[in-house]
Amino acid sequence: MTRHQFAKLTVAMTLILLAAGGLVTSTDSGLSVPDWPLSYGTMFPPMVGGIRYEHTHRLIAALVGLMVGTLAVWTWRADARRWVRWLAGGAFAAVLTQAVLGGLTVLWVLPAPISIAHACLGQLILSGLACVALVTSPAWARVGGWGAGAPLIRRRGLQAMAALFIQLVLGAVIRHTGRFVWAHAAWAVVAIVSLLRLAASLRHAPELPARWRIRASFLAWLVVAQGAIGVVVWRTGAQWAWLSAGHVLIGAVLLAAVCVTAVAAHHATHQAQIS
Amino acid sequence: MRREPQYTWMFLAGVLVAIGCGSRPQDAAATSQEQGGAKPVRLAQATEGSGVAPAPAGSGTIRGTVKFSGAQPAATHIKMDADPQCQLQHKEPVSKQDVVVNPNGTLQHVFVYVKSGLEGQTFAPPADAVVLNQHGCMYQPHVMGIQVGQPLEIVNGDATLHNVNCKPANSKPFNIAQPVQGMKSKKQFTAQEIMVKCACNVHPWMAAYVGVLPHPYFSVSGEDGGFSLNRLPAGDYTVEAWHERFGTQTKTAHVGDGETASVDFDFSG
Ligand SMILES: [Cu+2]
Repeated sequence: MTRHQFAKLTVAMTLILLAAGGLVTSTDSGLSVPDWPLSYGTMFPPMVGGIRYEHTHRLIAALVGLMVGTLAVWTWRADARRWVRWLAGGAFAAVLTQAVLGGLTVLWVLPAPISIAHACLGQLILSGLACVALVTSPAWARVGGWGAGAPLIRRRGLQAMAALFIQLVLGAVIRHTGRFVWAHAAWAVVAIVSLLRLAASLRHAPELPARWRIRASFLAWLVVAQGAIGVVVWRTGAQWAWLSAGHVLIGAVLLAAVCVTAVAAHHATHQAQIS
Repeated sequence: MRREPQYTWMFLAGVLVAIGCGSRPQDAAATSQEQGGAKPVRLAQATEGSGVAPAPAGSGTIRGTVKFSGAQPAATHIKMDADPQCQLQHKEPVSKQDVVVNPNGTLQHVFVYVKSGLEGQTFAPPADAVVLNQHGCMYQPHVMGIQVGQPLEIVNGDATLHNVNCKPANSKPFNIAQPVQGMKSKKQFTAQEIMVKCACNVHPWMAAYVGVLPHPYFSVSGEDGGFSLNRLPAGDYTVEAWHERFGTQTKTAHVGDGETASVDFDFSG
């Protein structure tokens, strides 16, 4: 297995972890296991009721922790680029922080600021890992040929990143306080527009590899679907746990996709300046 | 990209070590807490007011019934299949406890208490604990009262595990683990509150409501819809009735020594 393949596997497992974490919040089972790091004093409590969600989340989290740790050590020893080493190392540090935040949500009985931080950091870690997967890919060296469109893509990518991050925080506030729904709903307009603008600039960059144009279409459709799901979750009072968790997960995918796009565009711009 | 399989192997070895280390006996968490057998526990009497105070001052009584004049709600059954142990303990389907209308048209699980009229008087909390039992993955009782500072004994009467997550706004919230049958935990609330919700996140249908008061004059409507506030000092009182779905109603009443005043409530849904 190459490091790039392992990084992609880690990203996939982190997505599953985010889905499991989202389900914990949506089913209100975060406190079904009152102790941490063990669960009812053991690593394998009976998997009944809310424990199924909470403990599954913990088990997957332990696995992801090991995977990210492995990826960080591997990158540190095998990658000559210092910033890539720090990216992978930083991801591992963030995962450890995330584990502590998760423990505190349990031990301190779900204080909203900690729960919100836990929700947001989880998605940032996914984005960071997706970037590790990007910069370790064989295609990374070829990103240079994006042509004149790269600086625009980079700028819109950064704008969309900021917009989506704000939207992530606002969404986490709803999920952990039940308040300020209007802010998330209003900012959705900004988030969707910024993402569609990014997708348009990707589609209209003539020298971009076809692969990225397909990704742009996918991104555009996904953000429209995400808006529609958000409206359904809102109007039905978030009564379906899996739909709310799905909304969270799609949000995480969008943020990671935008981060990857922005990093690639930054790289392309940089390469163009050098050559 | 260079192939470096040793890192993959390192990772897999780490997973195996973690799983190996984790296999600890299941009831390790129980040792720190008081354990008893699975014997039946004395439950708080719903109609007498949970936690009878040590001989309060007076001899007056306020009693009455809580009528229900709304449309009879359709009984909704609780799905307990998330925990086979819960399902095993019930031959018949269990109905939700939020709206229980008695056959005589009265409403159960209404918390009735003296809201005002006792100002300036203090009532020491009884030393006897009020018991909140978990039986058949349901709380017994569903609605109860307790005095500020009075011990609350939480008992796991089930052969499954529960967490007990009480969320008072005025006292310190807590969330405790009760993995073993017969386990007991003592807690108390330090400030008045109508009502404290306690819930189990393992079994999301489980909910109990606790009224915390600085005096012993409270009662919960039972299977006949009746309530009784006993041994009241003579005086004028505001009495409030609280229901988890239908909110609150207040009435006033005057009682003299040895007298019984009658107060009825009527919830229309
Ligand atoms: Cu339970």
